[in-house]
Amino acid sequence: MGIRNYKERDATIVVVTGRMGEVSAPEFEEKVFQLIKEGDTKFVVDLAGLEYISSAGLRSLLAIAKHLKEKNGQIVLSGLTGAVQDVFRVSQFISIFTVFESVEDALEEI
Amino acid sequence: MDGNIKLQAKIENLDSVIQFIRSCASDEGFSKKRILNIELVVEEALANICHHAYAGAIGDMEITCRTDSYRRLVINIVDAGRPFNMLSVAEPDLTTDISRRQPGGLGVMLIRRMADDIHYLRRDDKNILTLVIAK
Repeated sequence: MGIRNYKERDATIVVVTGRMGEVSAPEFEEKVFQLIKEGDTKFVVDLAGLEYISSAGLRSLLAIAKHLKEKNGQIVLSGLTGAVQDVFRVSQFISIFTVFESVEDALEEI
Repeated sequence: MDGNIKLQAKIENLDSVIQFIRSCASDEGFSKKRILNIELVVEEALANICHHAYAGAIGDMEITCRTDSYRRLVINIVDAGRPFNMLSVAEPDLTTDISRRQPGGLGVMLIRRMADDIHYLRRDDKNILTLVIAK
């Protein structure tokens, strides 16, 4: 799994690529919690380059979302495709997260 | 391609099994996306074993892969841990919002929704889980 982040307007974009499974999901969660600790509260998680996610990834996203809600922060997702989209639909996570086609679309709305 | 693999039930061994399953499915002509679905159900089943089957002790997991007469992939996952039938696990509530959504039960739910057929057997002190995935 690849992960990098950058700031645009007042949001933090976290770009995740590759696969988010049992081993990599905790790394992702730790990274975002660290960014929150450093003061970031508005996140766009770009999943366009993510080809695979398991329940471990969903649990990490849920933990992050719950934490941000407590801090009046925000997390939205962009670029869900293929098998990742399947998992979000089947788990109904697609209805608890706000999802955009692209980072640009997300930044325009949030 | 038929085959089997036996490893210690540790998360760091998941990758090897996933690669083995990927080869089997690929040899049988499954699409890239379907292979990702197959990898998911296998990862979820194995993660359950690694986290829960042996209650902290070391144990093995054995995975076999073959096709049936309908050219579906039939994956058997065997562990010698405590009895666990995932078919009897209740589904998580998927209708609540973020604050009330619980993290548990997601793995089992994904397996149930994404495998075409699932069988469970407890025999000789082993859990035998069979996952069937069609193209």
